[in-house]
Amino acid sequence: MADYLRAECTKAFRRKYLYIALLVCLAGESLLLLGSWLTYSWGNTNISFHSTAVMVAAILSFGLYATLITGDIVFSDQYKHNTLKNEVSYGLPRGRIYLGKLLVSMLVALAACVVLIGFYLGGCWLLFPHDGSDGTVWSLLGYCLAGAFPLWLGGQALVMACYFLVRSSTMAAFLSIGILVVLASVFQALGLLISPVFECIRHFLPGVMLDTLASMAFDWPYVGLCWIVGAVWCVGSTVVGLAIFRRKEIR
Amino acid sequence: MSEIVLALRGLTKRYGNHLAVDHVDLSLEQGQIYGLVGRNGAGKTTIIRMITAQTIPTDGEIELFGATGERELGQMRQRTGVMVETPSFYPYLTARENLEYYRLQRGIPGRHVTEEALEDVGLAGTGKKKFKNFSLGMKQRLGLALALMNRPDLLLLDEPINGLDPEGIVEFRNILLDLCRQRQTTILISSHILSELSNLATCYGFIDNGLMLEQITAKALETKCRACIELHVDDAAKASLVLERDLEVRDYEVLPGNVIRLYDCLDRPEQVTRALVEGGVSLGGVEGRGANLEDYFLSMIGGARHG
Repeated sequence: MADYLRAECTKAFRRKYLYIALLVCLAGESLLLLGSWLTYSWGNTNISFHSTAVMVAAILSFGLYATLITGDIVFSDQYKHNTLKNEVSYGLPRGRIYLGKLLVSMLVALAACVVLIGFYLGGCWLLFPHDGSDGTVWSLLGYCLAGAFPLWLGGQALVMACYFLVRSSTMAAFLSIGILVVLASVFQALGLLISPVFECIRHFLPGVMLDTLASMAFDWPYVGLCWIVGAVWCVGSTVVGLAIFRRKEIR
Repeated sequence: MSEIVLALRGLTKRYGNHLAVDHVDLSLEQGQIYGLVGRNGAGKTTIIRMITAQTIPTDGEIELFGATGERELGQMRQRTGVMVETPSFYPYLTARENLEYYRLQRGIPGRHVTEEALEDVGLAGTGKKKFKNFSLGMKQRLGLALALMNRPDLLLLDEPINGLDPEGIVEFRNILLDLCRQRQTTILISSHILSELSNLATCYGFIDNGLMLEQITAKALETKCRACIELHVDDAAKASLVLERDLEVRDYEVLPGNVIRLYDCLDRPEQVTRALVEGGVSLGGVEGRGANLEDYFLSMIGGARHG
């Protein structure tokens, strides 16, 4: 497994795709920082490290969408290029192939997360005044990230399952979005029209939990629930994905 | 007795109502070059894909280096080199990067292995050229480099010379023959280019509509396809006597139904017929026979279709 992980990491981290995606995100963050800094330099006293840094808590759902990109970077259009046959025919167990790519996608996601959040918070720290509430900001961000992390991993596992099971990467991405995002709206409608059970289930979807997380600040049992839900999505997607992938025809 | 490297027993693959491979039995001994011959869609690729775990068999058993269990088969597959259909690699990586990725993934020690594999197939000088910019021939060579990288004991090759230029075909043939001679590598190769296959194979399997029609050694096939005069006579014993006594023929065989195949006197059939008539043998027919692999295969699938 160590050899497999090393090879996957080598491939993923030498792809231009990863760095282009990071650059695009960093450029977006830079624009956000620039806009805030211009507002601040024109005399808006409401702009501070506190007001800008807490924006991270408001865009936690972005991490869920980003799993589509990290998944795509690692899965690398295997079905389009027919490269999975080189791995399977050499006798590498399908479980190792599946779990290896999943683990590396999580690693890439984690690395990208550290770079993006680090860059943004570093920029906020350097550019904006500190008003004595830094401790509160770090606590809030710590709370949000502690809750978001397992949900992102759950999302990543679901995305990888879709990439493994659907031959077209585009269709896999649509399916992932459908489950992670559209399903919440469907359950909401079903909750109103058919049964409140659907509304109840909706609250356990990763996207919905990420949206709720910031408003539940410092409710640590909720973070615990995030870990349980994240783990269920992660294990559930992986078990289903792996079971189907084991029987899948490789071309 | 040589070691059985690969054995298939009743191997079957069904897609819905279509039986792609129908209870195929096959056995390969160490050092053999087995040519799998069949038309498009006959089931050749499906057989190779089942051996290489790309497709799960519907029924039957695969034995590789004596192993049959799923886990053991996986381990034994690491002693194989595979090239199925068009070689597939990451288009945005160079030949070296692609091979290095698979070397790492397979846990093959030593960076020199990648360099040697590239040199073996003449791709060492491709530098920064990405796989997507390779010609078909270069792609085939890279596919072969990957198949040979782990110094396999069994090579499974599906249409490996597609896209190779004449020089490449000769090089490819020499690589395979060297492997077979020097390392006793066993090779299963399917190809449409039967003339090329006949330069390599030591035995053949003819497959059509998923059925194995016949398995035959190259030697036996050569005998079957050998040029001869086929004589239909009323009395084979008398005709044999005449041939031996009057024409001093030694190389001939008597087949059931008073048929004689004569491998001598091919350049003077009129002398043969005259001697037989003068010796009191009644001739029902005389025809020149002889076939190459292509003719043999075509007559076989023709027979299978009419049968």
